[in-house]
Amino acid sequence: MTNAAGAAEGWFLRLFNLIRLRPITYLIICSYNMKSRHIRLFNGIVLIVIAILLTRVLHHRIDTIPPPGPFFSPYTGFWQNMESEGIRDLVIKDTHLQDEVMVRYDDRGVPHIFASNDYDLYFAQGFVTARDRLWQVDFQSRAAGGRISEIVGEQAVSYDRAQRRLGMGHGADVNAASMMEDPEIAAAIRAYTEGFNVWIDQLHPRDYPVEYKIMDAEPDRFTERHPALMLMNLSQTLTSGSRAHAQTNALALLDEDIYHMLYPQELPWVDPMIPPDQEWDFDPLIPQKPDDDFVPGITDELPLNEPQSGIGSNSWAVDGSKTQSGYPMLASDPHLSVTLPSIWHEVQLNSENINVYGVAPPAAPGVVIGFNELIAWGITNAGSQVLDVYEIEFRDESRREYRHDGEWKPVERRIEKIRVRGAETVQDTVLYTHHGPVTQPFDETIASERYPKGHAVKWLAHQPGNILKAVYGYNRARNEQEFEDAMRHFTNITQNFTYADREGNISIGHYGQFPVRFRDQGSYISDGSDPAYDWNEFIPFEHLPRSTNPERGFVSTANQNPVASGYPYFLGRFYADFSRGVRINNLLDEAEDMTAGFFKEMLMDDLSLHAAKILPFMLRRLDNDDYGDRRDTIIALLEEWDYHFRPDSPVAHFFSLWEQKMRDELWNPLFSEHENNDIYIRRPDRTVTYHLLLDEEHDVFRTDVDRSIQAAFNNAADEFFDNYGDDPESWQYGYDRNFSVGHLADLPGFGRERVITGGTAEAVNAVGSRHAPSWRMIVELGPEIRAYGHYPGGQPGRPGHPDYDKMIDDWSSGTFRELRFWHSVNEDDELTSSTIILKPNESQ
Amino acid sequence: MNPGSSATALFVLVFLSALILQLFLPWWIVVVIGIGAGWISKLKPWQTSAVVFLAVGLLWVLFALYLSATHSTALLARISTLFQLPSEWMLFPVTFLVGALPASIAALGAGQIKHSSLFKQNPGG
Repeated sequence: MTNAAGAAEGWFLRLFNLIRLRPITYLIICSYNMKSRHIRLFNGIVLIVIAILLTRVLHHRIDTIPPPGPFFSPYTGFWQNMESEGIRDLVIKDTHLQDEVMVRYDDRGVPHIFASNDYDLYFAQGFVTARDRLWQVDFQSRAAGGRISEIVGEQAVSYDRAQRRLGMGHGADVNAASMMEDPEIAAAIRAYTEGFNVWIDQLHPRDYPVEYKIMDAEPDRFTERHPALMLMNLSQTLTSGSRAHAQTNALALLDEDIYHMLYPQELPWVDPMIPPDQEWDFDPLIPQKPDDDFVPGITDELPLNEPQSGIGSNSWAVDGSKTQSGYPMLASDPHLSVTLPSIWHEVQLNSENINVYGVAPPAAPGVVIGFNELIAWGITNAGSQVLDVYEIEFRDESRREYRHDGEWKPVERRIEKIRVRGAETVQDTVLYTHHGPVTQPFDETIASERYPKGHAVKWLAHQPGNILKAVYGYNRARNEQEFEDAMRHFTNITQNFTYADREGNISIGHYGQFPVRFRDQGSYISDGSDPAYDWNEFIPFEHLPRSTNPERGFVSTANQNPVASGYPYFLGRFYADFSRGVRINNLLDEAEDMTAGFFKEMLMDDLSLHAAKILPFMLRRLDNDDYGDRRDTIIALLEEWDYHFRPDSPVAHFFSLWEQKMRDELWNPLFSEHENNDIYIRRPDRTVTYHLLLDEEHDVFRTDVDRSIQAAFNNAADEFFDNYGDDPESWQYGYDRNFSVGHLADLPGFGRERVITGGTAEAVNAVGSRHAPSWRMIVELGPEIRAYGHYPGGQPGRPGHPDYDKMIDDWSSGTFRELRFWHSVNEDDELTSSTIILKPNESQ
Repeated sequence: MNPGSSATALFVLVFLSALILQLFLPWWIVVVIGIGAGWISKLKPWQTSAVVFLAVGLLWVLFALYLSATHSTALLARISTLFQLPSEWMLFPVTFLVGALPASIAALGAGQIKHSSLFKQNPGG
């Protein structure tokens, strides 16, 4: 996204060269020696000019080097961003407030807002969010809408173009309009906006977050469009992936029987989210079907990047029959790319008809994942297909018309103007069909190359929607009915929600708008001219997959298939594999008398069912001799390994290396030919590979399986010994994996390197290479609600604050702190670390 | 006038005016102060320049030291990594130079002009 990382490189050298420019040295020497007064005048003028030029150079950013003058000045620069432990008390007066608001920060830096009406409540949330996360909100909003170039410069133009061409700004406009039509939500957004800007307005430039000083930029004021931009940002992360072109290519290039073995409709061993015995008691809508088979063209010249494969989450709830307290418990654990500042901001909101605690992405009024006095809810990504790719037939080269339903229809052209720091504004014309925008230009390649050239995308995020209405509703919901009513508004980001309440109910649902599809509609590139491929209807809310109080006493989701094949609608086919889901269900099935402690262990559970499935097979296929001492040591350790990816495991890291190399050895012969031609085909899923190996379907591999496994072992061993030495004592998965939490804009030094942690992508503790649990929450319902949690970051998103990355230690060690949920403004007063008092300005 | 006491007086003058003016004016006011110092100083241009160099540089470093002493210094490690400095303590000399260098070059230039043919009746006086 940004090249700030590369930018900083060589910074010092360049500055150093600048200040010892040879002419200056020469002139200084001259001025000592020359007696002539004329030469003195000349020298003096030259020196003044040099001083002024030097000042100018030091006053401006060159490339991505911060402007050294203001940046190093202790009056205005980064020195002013150093902060002390704790948070300052504040008293703020504002004319928009209706009543006094008390904000108490607890011992973990979480603001607890006590207001007497909605307006003041959301005003205060905007204010405290701006205080903690101003730069993050600004940067993410600009990134979402394709406005990074105005800060970064020309390097970011292709990123911005890709964002514009995906219709990010268009989607934000559509969503902001529908949110602002709703008086309740509009009022909440206005209050939040006002509060956010009151924080910005009282800042002196020396108080700007340090990232602004590094980038030589100024804060953008918060607008009513910002919450919609943030939602688009979430949508992009969660629902914009597509495998349509990869599958299209695979289907076209592979033999049909092989294709079906490699990409089965359902992945092996999956335990669907809703148990298969669920009955669907409704008459489903019948999808329109195309008349003839459409064969899309192969799409080439796409890089081989896997779309967001690590995005996933866990959430589960158990009813009172399985807990020690007799009341339900719930856990939520969304896995996202973890960065500093964190994607989540923790807050408690308390007002006359609301008392809710949890996390929200900064810029959203309300609490997205959390609990109130009576209910708790968790979220995982739905994974159903809500972005389709369409092949478009244009009438001629001018691309003014395209064919649809037997007619030529006009193409809408939207001009995107991208302001660029230090350069001319860039204009881009984006073609819109009724499906949606043409995301890649026809004749060039720009960033974010997930969608094939010249094709249009239809994406749910472009639909009008009012997600914040759902958040507003479920934050205040007192029972399952009110929760369900709120979820009717959860339309254009598709998510699974778990639910539990004090009355003892638990439920789970697959929420959002899902087009009514014929089988495999959208799994491949669609025919943009045939109305049967349009999204003609959405599945009615009453028909969505849901389950309440199932007999087994628990509900759970880990992004696997939401339903078994008995469900009458087709939702998609690219869900997470069995591993996390089956592990969670096994644990929940077996345990009784559960406590929060058991949930903590579950969230930190690092057993890999992938390893459990395939490692015994891999070990059997090694021939017994010829491996030498070091390799015997590894084999012995693997044989006694319990498949847990613990931080101190000596062989977990080796297994990952070996397994990866094995898949490469096995699939390279089949795929490398097409990949060498730059054709994008997705490799088969890991569990499909295991299934083929275990079922002895070895003919598909085009190579000798035993030899591949042995070759992979030898290569992995060579690499492993090279990197980590011979001594098993020094092999430590948690260290060797080199997990880091990077800065949002990749500024070197602003993340946390070498976070020692266990877990792996397919374990419940899904710490992958980039994605990881981004908020772990446990809620015990009951008369006295209790909750625990942490996230890998810190409440203040300001790098100068000592708590900036503090919670990473809790997160990596699995230390869960109690979340302070207060019922009144005075409760647990001794835990208050500081306060903000927001007062109406009565003089006006 | 005794150049010694004059250097001290000049140091105090530059230090205090830089300290106060930067409260409302941008950092580059130190360059203007450097020109002013070069103009009013009775010292040799290179001496004036050295005094300005020390006064501005010390002001910046002392202020930076004060802020570091009264706050968490976690940020310094981050900034020094960003600039690939070998140690966070390098930030202090860099800070010194960024303020002191343009100011002292300006002072030297102003002093040269003052001692030049345009304004001087007697060379070296």
